[in-house]
Amino acid sequence: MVIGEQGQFGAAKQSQLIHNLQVNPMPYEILATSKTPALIIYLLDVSASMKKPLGGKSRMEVVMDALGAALRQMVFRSTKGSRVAPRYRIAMYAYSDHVYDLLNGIKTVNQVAQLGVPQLSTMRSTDTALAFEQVEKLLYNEIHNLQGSPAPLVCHMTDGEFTGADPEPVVRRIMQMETSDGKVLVENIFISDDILAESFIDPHQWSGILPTTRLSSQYAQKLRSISSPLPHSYQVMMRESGYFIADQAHMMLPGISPALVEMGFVMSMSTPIGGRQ
Amino acid sequence: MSNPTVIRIDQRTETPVTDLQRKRYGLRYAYARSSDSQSTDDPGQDYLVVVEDGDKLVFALCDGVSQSFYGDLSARFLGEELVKWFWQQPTKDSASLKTSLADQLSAITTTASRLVDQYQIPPDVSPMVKDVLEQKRKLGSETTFITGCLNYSDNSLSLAWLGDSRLRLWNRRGEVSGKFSQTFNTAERWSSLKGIIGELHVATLPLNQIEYLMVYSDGLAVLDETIQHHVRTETLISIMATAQRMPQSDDISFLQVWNSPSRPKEKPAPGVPTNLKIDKGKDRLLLAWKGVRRAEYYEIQSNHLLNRRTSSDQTSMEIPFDNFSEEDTAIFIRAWSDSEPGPWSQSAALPSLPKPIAPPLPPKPRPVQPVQSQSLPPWAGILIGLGALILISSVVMFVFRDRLGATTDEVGVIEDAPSTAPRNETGGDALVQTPGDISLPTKTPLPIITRMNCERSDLPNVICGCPIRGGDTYANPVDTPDSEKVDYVTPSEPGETCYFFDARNNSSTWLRFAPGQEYQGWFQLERINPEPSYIQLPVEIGMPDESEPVVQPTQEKIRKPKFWQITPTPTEETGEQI
Repeated sequence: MVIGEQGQFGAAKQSQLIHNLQVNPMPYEILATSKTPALIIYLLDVSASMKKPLGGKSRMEVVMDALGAALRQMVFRSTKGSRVAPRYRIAMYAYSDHVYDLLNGIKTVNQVAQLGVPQLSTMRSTDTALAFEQVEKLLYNEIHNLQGSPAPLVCHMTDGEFTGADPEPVVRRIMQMETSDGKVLVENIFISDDILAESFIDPHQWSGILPTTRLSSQYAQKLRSISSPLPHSYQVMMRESGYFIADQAHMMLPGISPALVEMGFVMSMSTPIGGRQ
Repeated sequence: MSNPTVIRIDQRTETPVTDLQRKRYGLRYAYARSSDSQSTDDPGQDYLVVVEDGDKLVFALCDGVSQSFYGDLSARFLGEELVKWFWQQPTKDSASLKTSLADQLSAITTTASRLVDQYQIPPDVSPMVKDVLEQKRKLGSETTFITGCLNYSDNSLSLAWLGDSRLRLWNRRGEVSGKFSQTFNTAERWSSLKGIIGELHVATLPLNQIEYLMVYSDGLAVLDETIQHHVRTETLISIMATAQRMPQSDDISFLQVWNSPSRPKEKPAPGVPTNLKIDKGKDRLLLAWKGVRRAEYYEIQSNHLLNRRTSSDQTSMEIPFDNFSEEDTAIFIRAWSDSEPGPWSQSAALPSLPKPIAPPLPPKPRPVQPVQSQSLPPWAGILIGLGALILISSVVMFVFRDRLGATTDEVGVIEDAPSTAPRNETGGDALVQTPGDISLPTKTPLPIITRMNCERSDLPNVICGCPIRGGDTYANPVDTPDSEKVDYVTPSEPGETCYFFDARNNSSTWLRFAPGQEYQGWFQLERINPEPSYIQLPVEIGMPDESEPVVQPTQEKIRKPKFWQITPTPTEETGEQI
């Protein structure tokens, strides 16, 4: 068949063609730029179980390696010459039975590049609700400054079921917060063997956790229900990193291997950006 | 022939629009760094160089890839190499030009790589940034380019390009750039490490067939839709200023050469809109103004970031409050007519806008107490006692079950302590509702393919395969960043089967695809041939009703299409829906 292009520099015909059509504007299309940076909030479970092994290292080490790689990739995407443009703003919380603000507020990617990746040690329990309440408070204070910027994303990494209050109500409230680019996105990276039937997944061939994917545990199902659908623009960005996630997939990753944990952090920074890649 | 004049822009500073007129030709050029680079006083990564002597003009416009290693380095290096090479070359035909230039672009990678290897990274960058820059160094420095030679001694125009900078040509009848469509690709560029990435494009034609040409980097992509011909310098300056205000402001470089002893004819600017009034509605501002003759549309701009256009010559517009930021305090309007803007109107002050009401934070839940420090309420003891009694009774009944005449099945099971883990209320592995109040996409009033004609495919991501008619032409009128390279599709081979990927995302039923890649995503098709109607397209595909039974896969093995395939025209028996 023939695929062609009509009048690359003539928009008039296209305008006429869509005149009678109703097309919803696409959310999650605002580019991350210095003037409209993307806000990414990392929420990291540092409970005692994060000492358990995963692929030859402790779960904590795997997570910090993947987070470091994601930060470096953000710096890569933001660097022009030797200057790091503040295209991303980052907040980072570690939580166990308390919540710890690792960066002391929101920092730009160039500031985080100066600070480097924080070192964490494991603690005790998993008060997920408390952690998300902290995120909710941060977003509450920030959301009105984010109109015109990409929708914020909360990337939650955990390896076990919560202790304390059920986090689902607060997560659902967060998912209802909205900017002009769309609702706040929530992504969950769940480090557990008890999610999928498969014990091995090739991240570069995997299509993701879909609404119909059979999950082994009820907690995994719960996490899926509080994981946002992957926006199309994120899907395109992930493709550039060699990941081919399906359209209907949830923003939930089973952290059954270091490669999948890394994929989860790549997903967290897949806001579309301007400029040639 | 006089000694050649060399015009080079300085990447570290702005070059205002500058004209130069010779006996046979004239040119104008401009350069500006992105607003980010200006604010940090960093060099831009575009580069423009022109060499001319009155009989010959050679130019190179390069746009460094910012995510490569110091894109300004390769842009400057390649620009100089291209003009040096082109100036010395005899005129060639297209094939020879392509071959010899490709060879040259490969040969210079040795020198370029040495420059990249020797480049000193500033010592004060952080360790993480240094790591990233060393990673980029290994990948090389990259740039796009457009280069050309206008040779009056043999009436030849030779052009070559690689990447997504724009090349536009006009003859006396109008723009003739359409012949280059599909060739300005973001993925294509020149690399100091690898040489040509993608396909080198060339064109040769008689110089006297062209009235003028323009080349510009993608930082001025707004020109694509805004101007259809030569414009006044004031217009160019104004458009550059608007481009730099945008959040995605990029480096800008521009060159125009006209093939005549004087500038091309310029159209007059439209008048100034007047009586701009702003009224406050419930949740939006209502702007109205007195229009001007010949206006095709109006541009509305604030003193900060807001920029809007009317879709026609309407003289009013509504803008929701949340489109404005705190820095917006005034509004200006101007008219556009035939690619020329008029002057800005007098400003109108924005009224104070209500701050958005944030929802109250929920009350903090009770803090979780450790179990050992919690004292039990008085009635807990009674419950524990009852529980113990039940447990003892159960054990007794189990031990003496034979004598009691009970079977194992009938004996009560010892209850586990209630779990603190959350339980999935739906149970099992039921399809989970997508969380949140995600509204379904608006459905268009167009005919819908019924599921009779759809079949489930076992291909990944394909929900529904629906036939479209072979021989018809379909246009994709949705102008989106991903689909901008594809506007129409003509299935031409009979016997092909078409598959559409069901979007099933939270905003649209449309399906989109990009050429030359594995089909994925979503797009919108509109049939425009054989009937000249621009509607009547079966665009809603998929989005199956969850309550309907799932269509089972057919027995016939479906071959995975390389791209996508079209079924033969359906017969009456199958019930054509198109």
